[in-house]
Amino acid sequence: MKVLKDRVYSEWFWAYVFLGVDIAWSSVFLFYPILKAFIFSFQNFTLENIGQPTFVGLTNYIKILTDTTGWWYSIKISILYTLGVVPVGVLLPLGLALLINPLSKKSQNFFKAAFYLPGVVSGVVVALVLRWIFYPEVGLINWILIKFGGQPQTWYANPDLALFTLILMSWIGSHGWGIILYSAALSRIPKSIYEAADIDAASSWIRFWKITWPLLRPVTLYVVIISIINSLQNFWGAFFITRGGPMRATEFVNWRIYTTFYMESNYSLASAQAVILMIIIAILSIINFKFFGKGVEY
Amino acid sequence: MDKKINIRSIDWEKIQTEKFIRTKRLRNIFTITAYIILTTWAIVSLLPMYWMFVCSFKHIGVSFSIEDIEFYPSNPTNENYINFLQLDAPPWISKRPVGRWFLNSLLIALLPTISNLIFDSMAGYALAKMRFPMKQAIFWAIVMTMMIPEIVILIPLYRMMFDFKWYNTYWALLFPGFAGVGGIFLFKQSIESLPTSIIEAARVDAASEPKIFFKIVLPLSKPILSVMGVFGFIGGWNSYFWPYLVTESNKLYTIQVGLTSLMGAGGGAGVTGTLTFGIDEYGQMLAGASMAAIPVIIIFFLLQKYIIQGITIGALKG
Repeated sequence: MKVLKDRVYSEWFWAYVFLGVDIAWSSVFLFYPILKAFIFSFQNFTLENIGQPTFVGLTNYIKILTDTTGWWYSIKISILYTLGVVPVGVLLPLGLALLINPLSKKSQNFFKAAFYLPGVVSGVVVALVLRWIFYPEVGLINWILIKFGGQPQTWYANPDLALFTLILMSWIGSHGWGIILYSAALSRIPKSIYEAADIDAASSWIRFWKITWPLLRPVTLYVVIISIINSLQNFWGAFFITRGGPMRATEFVNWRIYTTFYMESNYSLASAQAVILMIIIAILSIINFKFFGKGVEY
Repeated sequence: MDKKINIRSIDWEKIQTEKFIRTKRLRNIFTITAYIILTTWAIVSLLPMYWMFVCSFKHIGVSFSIEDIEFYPSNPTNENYINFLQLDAPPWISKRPVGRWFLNSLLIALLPTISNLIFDSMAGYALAKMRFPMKQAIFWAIVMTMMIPEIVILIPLYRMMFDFKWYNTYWALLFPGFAGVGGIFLFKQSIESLPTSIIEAARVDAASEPKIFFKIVLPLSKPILSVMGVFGFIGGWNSYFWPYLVTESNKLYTIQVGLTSLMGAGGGAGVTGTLTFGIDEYGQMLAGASMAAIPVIIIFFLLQKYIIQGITIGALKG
C-alpha cells in the first residue's frame, strides 16, 4: 500500500516538474502580462506618468465605446475586411481541395506544395512584393489590366480602392493552409459512404450536399473561426503598405491599437482597446461554435 | 403477349459498356478541367514569389516604366544585391550590418525553437499520460491563453522589458520566447495517441518518469518533434512584431526588421506615417526580400512532408 502511495506521489511530483518550466515561464511572460493588460486598462498609464499611473475606473472603456469616429470606425473597417476575406478564404480552398482530391498522389503533392509555398514566406516579404505588384505607376497588375484593355488603377493609394486592394491581396495570398486541411479531411471520408450513394444513383450534386459538405463541417468550423479571428486582427497591410491611409481608408482595429500603444504611447487606452477586441473575438468564436459546432462522427 | 419485353433479349453488356464509356469520358473531362483550374491557380499563387526573384535581378531606376515589365530578366544584373549589401559603398560610410541581421534571425529561429521542443514535449507528456491534481484546470488555462489576441500580451510585455532593463538587448529579443504554452497543446494531442500500455508497463517495472520520457516517449515522438521544429524555425525566422518592438539599434535587428527599417515602416521611422521609399529603392528592397525568403523556401522544399503533416495536427482528430 505504501509503495502504491509513493508511486502516486512520485507521478504527481514528476508531472509538476515536467510542466514546471513552461508554467513558470508562462507565468512571467504570458499570464502576468495578461493580468497587467487588465490592470493597465483601468489606469491612465502613458509615457508621461511612468511609475505613478493612477486608477481611473472605466474611463478608458467609456472613451473607446463612445468613440464613433475612431474605435467604431475601425471596427467597421475590420469587419468589412473580414467579410471580404473569409468567404473566399473558405470557399476557394474547399473548391481547390475538391479538385485536387481525385488526382494521383503525385499531382496532389505537387499542387499542395505550389499552393502552400507562399505561406512559408514572412509577412514582411509578402507585403513588399504585393506592394510592388500593385504599384500604381509600374505594377504588374496594372500592366495586365492595360494588356486586356482596362484602365490602370492607383490601388492602395486610392482611398476608395485601398481596402479592396488589401482584400484582393489576401485572395491572391496563400490558401495553402485551408487547401491542405480540406484535402486531408476529404481523404478521410470513407469510400464506402460514396459507394452506398452510387447504388442509390445519387447525382454528384446530391452527393456533395448530403455527404461531403456535412462531413466537412468540423473542418469548415475550424477554418471559419481561425480566418475570422485572423482577419479581425489583421493589420499587416496597414502596417507595411498603407499606414492606415489613404484618408483613413485602412484604419484596422489592430492598427488603431498599435498607433495608440506605440506611436502615442498611451498604454492604458491601448490595453483597454485590446481587451475589447479580445471580448469581441471570444463572442464571435462562441457564436460560431454554437452555429457549426454540432459534432460529426465518421 | 409479344409486346412484353423479353428480359433475356436486352444486351446488358452493351448497356454496361456504354455507361462505362460515358462515365469515363465524364471523368476525363473533369480531370482536364481540374488540371487547368489548379494550374492557373498555382501560377497565381506562385507569381508573387517569382516576380520578386525576377525583379530582384532587374535594373529598377527612377526611369523604370510600365513598358519595361518583362517576365524574365533579359539583361540580368546583380546591382540590387550589391546595393542591398552595400558591397560597393565607400569605406567611410557606416554600413548596415546585414550579416548581423541574418545571424540574429538565425538565433531567433533556432534557440527558442530548441528550448520549446524540450519544454513543450515534457509538458505535453505530463498532460497526456500522467495523473495529477489540477490537470484539467492547467490544460484549460493553456487552451484559453492560446485564444487571447497577441496584442493584449504585447503591450504589458513591452513595458516589462523596460522594467527589466532588457529593452534593446538580446535578452528581450530571445528570452521571453524560450518557453511558453504555444506548443503544449499539439504535443499533448500527439503523445496521447501513443499506446498507454508501454508506459504503464515501464511504470510497473519501476522505471522513473524521466526515464520513461526520455527513453520511450521522446523516441516515439520524432514525427511531432520534427513538425514542431520546422514550424518553430519558420515562425522564428519570419517573426516580426516582437523583434520590431524591442530593438532599437540596428545591430539587433533581424533580417525582417532590417528590411522594414529600409522601407521606412519600421525601426523607429514609423512615426512619420508614410512609406518613405520610392521606386529607385525598390530593386534593393526586392533583393533583400529574396535573401530573407530563400532560407525558408529551401526548408520548405526539404521538409515539405513535415509541414503538410503539421498543418493538420490539432485541426483534425486522430
